[in-house]
Amino acid sequence: MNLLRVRTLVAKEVSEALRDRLYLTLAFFLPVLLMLVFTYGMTSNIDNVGVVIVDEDQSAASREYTQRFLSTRHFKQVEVTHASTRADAALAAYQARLLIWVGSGFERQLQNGQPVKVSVQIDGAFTEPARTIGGYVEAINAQANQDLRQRYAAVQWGARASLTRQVTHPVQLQTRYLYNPELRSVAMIAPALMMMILMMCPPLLIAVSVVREKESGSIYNIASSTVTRLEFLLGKLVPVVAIGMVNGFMLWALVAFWFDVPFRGNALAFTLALLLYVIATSSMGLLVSSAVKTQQAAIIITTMTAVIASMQFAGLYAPLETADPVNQFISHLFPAADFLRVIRGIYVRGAGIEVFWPEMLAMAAYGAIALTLAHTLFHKRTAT
Amino acid sequence: MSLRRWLTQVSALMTKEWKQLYRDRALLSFVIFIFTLDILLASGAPALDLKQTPIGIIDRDHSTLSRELIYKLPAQQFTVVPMADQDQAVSHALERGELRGVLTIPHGFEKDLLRAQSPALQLVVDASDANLGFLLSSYTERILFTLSGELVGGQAAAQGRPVVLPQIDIQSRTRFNPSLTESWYATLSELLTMVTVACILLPAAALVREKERGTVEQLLVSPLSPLQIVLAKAFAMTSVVLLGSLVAVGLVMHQLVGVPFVGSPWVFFSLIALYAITSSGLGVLASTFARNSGQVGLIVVLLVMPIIMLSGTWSLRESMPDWLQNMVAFSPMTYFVDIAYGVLLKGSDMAVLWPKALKMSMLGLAFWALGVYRFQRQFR
Repeated sequence: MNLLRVRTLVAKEVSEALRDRLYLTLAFFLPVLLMLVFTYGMTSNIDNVGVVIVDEDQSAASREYTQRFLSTRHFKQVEVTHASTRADAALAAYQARLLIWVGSGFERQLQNGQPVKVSVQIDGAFTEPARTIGGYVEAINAQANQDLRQRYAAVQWGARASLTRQVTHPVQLQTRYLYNPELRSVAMIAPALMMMILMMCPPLLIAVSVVREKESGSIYNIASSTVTRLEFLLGKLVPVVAIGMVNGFMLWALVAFWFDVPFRGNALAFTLALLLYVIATSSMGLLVSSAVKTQQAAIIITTMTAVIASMQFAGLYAPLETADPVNQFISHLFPAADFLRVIRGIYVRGAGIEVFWPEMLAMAAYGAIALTLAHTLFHKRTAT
Repeated sequence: MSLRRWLTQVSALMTKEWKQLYRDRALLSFVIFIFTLDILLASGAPALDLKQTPIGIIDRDHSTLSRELIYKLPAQQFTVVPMADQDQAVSHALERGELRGVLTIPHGFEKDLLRAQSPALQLVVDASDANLGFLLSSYTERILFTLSGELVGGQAAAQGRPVVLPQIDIQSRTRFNPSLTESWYATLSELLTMVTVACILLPAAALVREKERGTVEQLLVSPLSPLQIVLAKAFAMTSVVLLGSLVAVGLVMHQLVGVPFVGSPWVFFSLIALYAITSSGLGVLASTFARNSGQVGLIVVLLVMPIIMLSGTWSLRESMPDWLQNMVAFSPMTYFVDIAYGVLLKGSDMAVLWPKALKMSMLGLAFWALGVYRFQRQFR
């Protein structure tokens, strides 16, 4: 390999990129824009969810109970008439995702110290919000029960009786949230989006590079030159990796300073991980570009692969341990899951590089394998 | 020019597009993949739920009740990992992500519990994944109160003084997906994502390609209007997407994965066709901003990624900030997500869906009008 030739090829790629203003602008702005829009869009917790309340008891107790739901930021009441058939339809028509039905006799039964039932319907079409809403309902209800028992026990046995304490506070649980004490979802989403955006942008920047030369015929200039295949591919790869690293640092700065997610790890270790990941994803783009015949195919395959790898198989939303074995296996075909573990580990939890060397090694291996495959599939002379 | 001739010309051009796709084997295999295998794979997607979540337990009490408490932690939600009482090992396991939380049962737990001294258990939660962290802590809290209440209640009953307390029981029913089967949601979400990307990207890439190679000039000097060219491109790709969705929904989702199909197939497929045409309008529009394929890829990602992430399958629209909600109103997918889940799982009909379908068509009309206008303008 002749480094001078690689340098010349890199210079050619750079001057080509510099002439394409729109491409160059997007290369640097796309990652930032995606980061901003996604973080603002996805960190919203489950808030403002429409709830239909059917209160047939219309008592002080039932109003106090339903008010517990409405006073959180999670729920907001949707007005529907009191007929339960109409209330039902509100879930189907997306007006509400939750229906709470308090039957008559609610207050009377509670005053007699009897258990009472409250019916709840949750829109299960979207499973994740449904589970979260179910969790909120359980938590709010548990708090209501706690207060109820405390009052009841105080009346029955006196507020200081040991039996009262035993039934109302059998144990205490002191919870401490590590790494993200306020449970901000920004602190979870924004760093993870680095994985997603860097799975998308560098591969797209490189996706058309090889196949464009094939389609336009300028590949024949290379075919008739002394440039080797590897030098040619490296000439494509180096500028994109450089842009990818700049993107990576921009995103890092955005996450740390704009979204205020503290970086706890070792900066050098994280930079190394970033570099290995950008090389791996860029090489995947290069592989697609070397394997296909048209630019159209190159951008479509690259985009969709990035979407699939980062959204479906990286554990962005739910821990991969809960996926079925096939999905877990497929997640190993992309470097996204490894980098996400590194982000959560080094960036968020401040773990040392020694904890994450298997992931680092894996990312390096992805890069090497993708580049080798691209080298095997790329021919200076096209088949036609 | 007669309508018949006009249509013949369009269909001739469409045939050309189909042939081109058929000959691009890499692209064709990928299109087949996204509508079959990819949907099937989505059925095994992970769910945000406690499912044998590894949790470390440090038992400092070593009593009968502490052991009973550990034993009673539900195995479906937790994988209990007994830990030695060593800070180093605990923090390493948490850093590594091997444990999602660590529960410490204090010394004197049994004694305090029986004497009503409210023993304090400690839970340390890894909140780097905030959703899972919250799930873990709130579930643990609830289960601990229930279990320790049972332990106390058992003791009280044994002493011959059972305690009856008022209680509000939630009778929860989940509608449209009673057991919250993740695959029902995930396969449809994956299909909508793929349809959206394909509908925008395929026509956009096809149009830019002709522009880049100069073949679009050949087409323009032929007896074809620019509208015909654009329509043929978009409809050819739309038809492919429609065929793909038919296979994906009818065969993969309904037959293989077992997703119910409650509503009318006619409503579903006519509206998915409408959605495909609407989105391809966005593709036509996007293509007019790009001069080469490299640019169109970036422009489409700029459009498509926010659309698929913010249109309702991955995040709730009502929870977003207002400015973002206003932006999302311009995403045709927002309406189609409601339509698709509505027809498939809720059995909604046009009586409920027409406002969403109407808004979607208005957007489609606007995209097409602007797209065709800009496309024509390029060649003046």
